[in-house]
Amino acid sequence: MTKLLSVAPAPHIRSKKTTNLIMLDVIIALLPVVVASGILFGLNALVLIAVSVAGCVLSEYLWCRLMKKPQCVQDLSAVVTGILIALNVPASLPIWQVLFGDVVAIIIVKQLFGGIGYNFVNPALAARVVMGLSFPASMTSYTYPAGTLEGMSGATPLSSIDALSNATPEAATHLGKYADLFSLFIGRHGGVLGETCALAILIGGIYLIIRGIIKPIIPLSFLATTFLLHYAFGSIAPLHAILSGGILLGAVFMATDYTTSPYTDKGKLVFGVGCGILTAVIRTYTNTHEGVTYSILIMNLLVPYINKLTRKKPYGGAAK
Amino acid sequence: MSNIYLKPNIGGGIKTAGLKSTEDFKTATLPLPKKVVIPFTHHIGAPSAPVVSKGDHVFVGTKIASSTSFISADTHSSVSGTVSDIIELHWSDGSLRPSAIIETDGEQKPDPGITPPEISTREDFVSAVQSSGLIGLGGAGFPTHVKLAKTKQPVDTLVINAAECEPYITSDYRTIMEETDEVIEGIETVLRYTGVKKAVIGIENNKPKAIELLNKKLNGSPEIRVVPLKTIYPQGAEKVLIGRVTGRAVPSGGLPADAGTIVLNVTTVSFLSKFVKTGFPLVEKRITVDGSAIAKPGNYLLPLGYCIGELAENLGGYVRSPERILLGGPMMGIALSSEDFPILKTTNAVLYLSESEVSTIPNNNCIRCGRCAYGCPVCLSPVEIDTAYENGEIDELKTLSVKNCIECGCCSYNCPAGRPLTQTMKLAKALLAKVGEKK
Repeated sequence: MTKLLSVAPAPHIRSKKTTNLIMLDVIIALLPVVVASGILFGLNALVLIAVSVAGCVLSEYLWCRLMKKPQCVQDLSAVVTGILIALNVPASLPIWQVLFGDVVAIIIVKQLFGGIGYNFVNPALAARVVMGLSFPASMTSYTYPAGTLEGMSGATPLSSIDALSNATPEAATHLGKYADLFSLFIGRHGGVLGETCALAILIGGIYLIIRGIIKPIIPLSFLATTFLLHYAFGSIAPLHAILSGGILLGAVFMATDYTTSPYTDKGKLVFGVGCGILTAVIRTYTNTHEGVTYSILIMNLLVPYINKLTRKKPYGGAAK
Repeated sequence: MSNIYLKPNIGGGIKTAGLKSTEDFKTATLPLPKKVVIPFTHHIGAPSAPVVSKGDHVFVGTKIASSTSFISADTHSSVSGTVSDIIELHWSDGSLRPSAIIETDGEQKPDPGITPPEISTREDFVSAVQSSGLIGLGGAGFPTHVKLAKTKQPVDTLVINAAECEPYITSDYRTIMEETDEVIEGIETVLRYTGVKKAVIGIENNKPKAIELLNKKLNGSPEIRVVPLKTIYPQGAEKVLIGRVTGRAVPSGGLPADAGTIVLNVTTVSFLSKFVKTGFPLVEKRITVDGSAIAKPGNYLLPLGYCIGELAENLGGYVRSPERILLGGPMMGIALSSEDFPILKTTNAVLYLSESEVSTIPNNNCIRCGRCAYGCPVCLSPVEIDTAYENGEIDELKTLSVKNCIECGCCSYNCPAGRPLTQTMKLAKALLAKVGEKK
């Protein structure tokens, strides 16, 4: 026999699910949201998404190249980040601003801390915050899908609900007029590219769960907590609360990011409930629109501690 | 009574492709090899001392190495012939193990000194088994007589491991199908001499015919029960199996006796029933040969020391170039560096895998997905052990209980980033042992 045998430690077989196949599944799960944003906001939305993906991939490629590190763009995580950043901006955002967000996410938040697996907060959400602070006007000038009801320009359903409930106690009875549940569900209302169409987000989320990419613990506990707290606070009608703003997009695609969420099941529950509480509190008691973004980012920071406190007990007890 | 035991905390394990395509291949024999290479020591414990030298003539069953302490075992010749040389065999862990090369004379005469053992007490039974060369045939190779000896802890359950959870391997399944009576008699023999009251046979539910056959032959036996288990690797890992069939956990660092059990492999008990009747020592093994590189896969009864290269030749050679040759299954088996390695007492399969059957994923950054922790049957956190080991954090490794790792391979199997987690666990355990010695 001329060919040498290969020798390696066991196991000699491995699951087919590799990092880039997982990322590919996330991209597939995002497609319905991408398509919905194209339908709702037009060609501009798709251009923004394409530019953002290109910006992230290029940033990652150049970083690895210039820093003489092993090339890692093939793991597709930069594509996911690129799509997510674009889904978090309004359709009217100037292109150079989304590129700025891409560089912040990939270089500052991800690569400076060691690349994939080492970022301590979600790169796309951190970019959203930096962009929000840098370009407050363009980041909040929400455009509207064709056919949206009049009288809503300049506000997302959440802010119009806010305004109403501050103004009149009967706000809740008027809600239907401003954003009926069906419009919220199919995305016919204002907001950033990816957050308006609940239907598309749910399709993506179900795909991720079926494919075993995410467990439903975080999205369900996040949404349920926000729902219940809004009910308890009486601030916003609970169903409207979870169908408007960025909560669905956040709960399904942002809060479930592996690196910045706990890996234990109990930890995921703590994380989801924490996000839910912070979101409801921020939305009810502060003036910012970024309830979901900030709540996920704050919980991101707690992940190492949550993991440590929710570790499973080993079989047979702790080793002596 | 049962409340004195810990509750088992068992993690997810993994679902593998069963790949048990040899399950209906009846056990066949092969031509006698020209020579066999038999290491004097196959087991875990004190090494055995050789009792033959170059030029000696041996029969089938002649003792060639003698146990040196209680946790040790004898070794016997599997052929009749002449000891042509004593060599140092390269072991998978890098060490060298003295081994006898025996050239076969083709007569296969049994050793005339072999007589059935006289057994009347538990002590007789234990010493008879010690002289049989029997060690755990499931793979770990712990000398069997040690498990049968009286323990300080009360033992009320004999657990028979028939799970056979590794992909490809069907040799235990064939033992059940072809030696059903021997299996049951072996269990009864162990119960009789150890005074243990009941036995449970743990078997994965992907072997319905074996479960049916055992139940039929047991015919409602009050003391022996078959417990079908879900097909999830590693159901056959000793601690997992004890947890599944008894609802008790072996405490960290403890033995099966600490959970009131003795665990024996199904092939081990089958051998025991034959041994108490004939006194014939352990000289052959039923081996599953599989993998897409080999021409004739199947189950074969082979003399110990049969070399892997000669085995391939006698099975029609290779139909594809073998990429990796394994002793054992793909989850825990050992990759051989040479075809000159022999079949051991602990071998239950030889896999000639072609390139397409071996997974090689480049090692990338951990993405902290937690799949290693979900898969871990003993509920450790490989994701954190990996980081702690890389950073050399000794105290953290202790906190994370890495010593409890059973090295089943689930964490590496699950890792999408291709990290060699199981190897890291082994290295971390070795590191802790080294640090412990220094103190």
